[in-house]
Amino acid sequence: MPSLQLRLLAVFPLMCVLSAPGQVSAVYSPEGKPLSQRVVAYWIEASLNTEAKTLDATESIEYRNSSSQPITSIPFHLYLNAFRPQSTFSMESLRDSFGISYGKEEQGSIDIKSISIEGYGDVSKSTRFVAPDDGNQEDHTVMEVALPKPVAPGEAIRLQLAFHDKFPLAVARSGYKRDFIMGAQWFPKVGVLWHEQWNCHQYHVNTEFFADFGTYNVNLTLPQRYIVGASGIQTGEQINSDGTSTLSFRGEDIHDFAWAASPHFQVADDVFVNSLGPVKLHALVLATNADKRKRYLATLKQSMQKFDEWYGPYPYKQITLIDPEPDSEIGGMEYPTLITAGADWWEPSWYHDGMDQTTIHEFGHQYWYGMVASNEFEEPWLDEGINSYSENKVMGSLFGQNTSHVNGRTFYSSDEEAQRLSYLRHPDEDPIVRAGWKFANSFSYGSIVYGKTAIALTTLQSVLGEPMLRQVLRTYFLRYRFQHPTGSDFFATVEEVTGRKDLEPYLVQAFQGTDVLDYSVDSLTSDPVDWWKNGRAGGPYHTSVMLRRKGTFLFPVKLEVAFADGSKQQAVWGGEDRWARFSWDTPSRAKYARVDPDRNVLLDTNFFNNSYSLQPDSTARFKLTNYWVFAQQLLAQWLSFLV
Amino acid sequence: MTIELQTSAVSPLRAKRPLPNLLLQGFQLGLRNWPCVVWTYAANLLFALLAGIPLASGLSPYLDHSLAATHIAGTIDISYLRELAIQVGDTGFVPMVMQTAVWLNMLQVLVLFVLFAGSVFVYVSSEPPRFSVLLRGGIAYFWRFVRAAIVAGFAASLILGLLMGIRGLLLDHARDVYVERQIFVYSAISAGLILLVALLVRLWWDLVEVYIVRNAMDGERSIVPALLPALRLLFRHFFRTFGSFLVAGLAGVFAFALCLLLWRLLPAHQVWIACLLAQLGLFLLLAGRFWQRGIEATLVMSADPPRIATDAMEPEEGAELVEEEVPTTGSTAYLAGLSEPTLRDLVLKLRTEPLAKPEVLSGPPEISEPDPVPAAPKPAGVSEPSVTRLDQHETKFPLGGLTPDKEPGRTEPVEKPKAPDNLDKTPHSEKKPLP
Repeated sequence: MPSLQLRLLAVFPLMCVLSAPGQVSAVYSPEGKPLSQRVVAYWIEASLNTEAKTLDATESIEYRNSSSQPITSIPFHLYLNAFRPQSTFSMESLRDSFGISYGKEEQGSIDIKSISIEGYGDVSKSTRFVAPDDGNQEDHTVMEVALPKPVAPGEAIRLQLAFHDKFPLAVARSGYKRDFIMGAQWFPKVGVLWHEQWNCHQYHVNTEFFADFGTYNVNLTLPQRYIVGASGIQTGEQINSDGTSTLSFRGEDIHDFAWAASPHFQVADDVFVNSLGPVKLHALVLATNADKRKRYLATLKQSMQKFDEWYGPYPYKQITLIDPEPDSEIGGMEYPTLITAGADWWEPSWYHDGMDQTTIHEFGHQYWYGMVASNEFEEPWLDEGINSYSENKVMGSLFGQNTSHVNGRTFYSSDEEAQRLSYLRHPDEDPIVRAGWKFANSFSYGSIVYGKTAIALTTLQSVLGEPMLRQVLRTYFLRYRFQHPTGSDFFATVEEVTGRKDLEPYLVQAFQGTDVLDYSVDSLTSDPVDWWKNGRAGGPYHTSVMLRRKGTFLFPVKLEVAFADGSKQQAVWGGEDRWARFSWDTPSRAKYARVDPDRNVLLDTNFFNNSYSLQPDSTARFKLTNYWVFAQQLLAQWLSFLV
Repeated sequence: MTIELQTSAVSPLRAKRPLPNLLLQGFQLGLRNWPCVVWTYAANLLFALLAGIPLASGLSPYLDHSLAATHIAGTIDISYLRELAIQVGDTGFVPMVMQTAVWLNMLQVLVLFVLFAGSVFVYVSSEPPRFSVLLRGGIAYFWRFVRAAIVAGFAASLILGLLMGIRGLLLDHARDVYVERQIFVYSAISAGLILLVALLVRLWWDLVEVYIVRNAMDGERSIVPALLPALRLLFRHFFRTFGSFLVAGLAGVFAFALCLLLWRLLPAHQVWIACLLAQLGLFLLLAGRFWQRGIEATLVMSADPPRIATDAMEPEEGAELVEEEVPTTGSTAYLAGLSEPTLRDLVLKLRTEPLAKPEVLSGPPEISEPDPVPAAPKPAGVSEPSVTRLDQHETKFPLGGLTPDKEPGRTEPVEKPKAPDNLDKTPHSEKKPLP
């Protein structure tokens, strides 16, 4: 039997022919033109061993130098090597107490069996592992190949690789659980030549991925009983005589390719007609969650409709939703044209914090990450933070502004508030714009990148108005889709669309600083003007309110004072000093004073000191005390039952 | 009528007598001694209120003057509640509240332990259910109950530990195959089975506690003689006992759940009515526990009463053979044909005839003629009651429901009890022995 390399060399030209124009397109493109630069093209022939949880594959890559400088090396991401105990990802997981034991099953790897360059033959000896972020020589998630000859600008180079994957018992994104297998970050992926330099970071616990747009042609061979969902669209299926089948997929203008396989999937399809044409909604739902199919599809469709209306069209012909195996740590992840959601068996209709929120958030990543392909390593907030803001908007639109998370009889909560609470847990440890792997820990990363960014944008919305901010995001999307924008590009878009130059102080404090915003009503007094006269009743009253800026974040806030006769007085304070006093002489006594009465400044870290009422009301206190006393009594009765 | 005192070496004669309706009798026993549950509930509430004081005072600066509190006073916005937790979590207030609650809970459990012990004592000994009696009885039996708790804890650890280990192994294998609802059902069912076993252990332990008090009436201070009889009794009347135990417990739980449901249906701002419903539910939950205690006391005292009751029976009256056997002490001769009216005769006799002054015995006690009642050993510290324990026992435990009013009248005096030849134990004619 010919060697793997020879077979690949024989197949490669055929693959190129098959990918020539005329083949079914996976995108809606005017006149069939590529939507992106298509820097790289992948052809992958893979064979999955579902028993051993391994995969053997050959990969052909055509890479074009789109920079103005010649390139002398090419780095590859070998993400599966993150699941080796010695990797940087493992060490950071240990640091953040993720509880991964890295037993034999939990270890994964990707081994490059061979690598050659067309015209130069085997270049295995020219490869080495590099650790550009932390110098950890045991971290093998980045492999650099020195080129025998530089590739000039505009020229292309063709490489052939053979590799062997060992999938781990899933602890994060990739791997298997029972007989479900998620092929994510499973192939050697070229880094990004960005700003004239290679950008290829190690896999960290707090980072995701960054790659160039291109095309993918993948043939996956696996047992026939498995049902597969993948990026792009399926272009063919071949039944083999050995009980396997080979499924063919093609993806265009995408920067990653993922797939999921399970014998327990049930297929549920639907169609959404957006502004470009019909999009196939392809949901693969586990048999145990069969009752969730309609809800998945409905939520996905509604999300597509909102994003299409607010930001722009979804140009791909299909979106695949994977319902992952429970307890697999694979749910809640995004890949171009494929998302993994996740549902619990008990998810009542009034609870949206599970499958609904996950589906909306992951679909949103098709825009912020999938098409606007920012660098998730260096500026994670550009996709996660902006997407979290979009998620708040979509969920509020679909499920009610205040009840978008939970809409129960005796309690409720909103997605927006949940983001704010996430932020409140670690409000001042790291700035939003920090690189992902440089955050203090995973908790700060989650709080700041997701929560603070979403809330900072919501607070910005209170200044600009929701329609204006939506226009900003729409412009940002349409301008930078299929590109790699930076934070500067985003801020420039904000200034350009709003026409405002005075936003810089806010943007700098909110995104680049760690300042905390907290305004409080320190005191409120409302006494008769001639207070020295005893036995006097009635007005006029002299009302005095003292505001304090407890944090270091300067932001103009509105003050509202309400009086017993129903009248109100308002004022605005810029927060320049540490405190300010406002006074009025009015016919009636004051009832309360409140900062930010419209609750626009969600960056304020303490809502409980934003107001002061002269007449105390202990209802809330007694209510909570009642719960506490009840809990203590119940606990004591249980303990006394035990002893 | 004779009284024979038997040594513990004499094999117990099995006399058959019907068990009363455990649920009903247990309920009546609990109801008659209602101050027990009231005092226990009061202690439960008092400690919880004490634990609530630091929380109430600590929340005042955050909530009383803040308009944000309206998001908690009405329908709760969980976000505000969580933010409040974040705000107070940054202060030293939360650790103080938690520490106070922990210490108060530990103290409360100790107090409840004493009160439960005292309640068992009241149920078994027919003492009046006064708070002082509860405390006295609870403290008197405290260390015995602690030792019983240690033994029961050890047994429970072994049994439940083994079961939970097996459950864990089985579920680990099951999780490789089943997911979601299926694995939840398997988890719930297996947890339910283990819970039933745990309740069974608890029931046995409760019976041990009743036996400890019952045996103390016979002068036994060790807890060991309580262990096996409790187990035997439990399995002899297993379904009836366990069923009654479960019914009483579930009744308390259902009543509690009903109160919670009503609470949930209330408008959000009705804080005081919510408080009342919560307290009612907790009281009913506690009452269910006392019902269980009543059932256990009824069972033990009916099926295996202390020797003082059975030793006083005369065999001459023929009695119907009853369905169930219960072990009792006493000679074959006079225990055959035992019947309740005979006991009533003894009671009447004891009421009308003067009692001999009890003496402390250093060896086998001697019964001196012509004392109508043999002198009983008087342990140190025993105080003479104004009413005999037997008298109280007769009124509290009708032994199947018969009362003196319903008996056929007997006018002839009963014979004096015959002095036993060999005594290791004397019948109790005095008040309960306190340690």
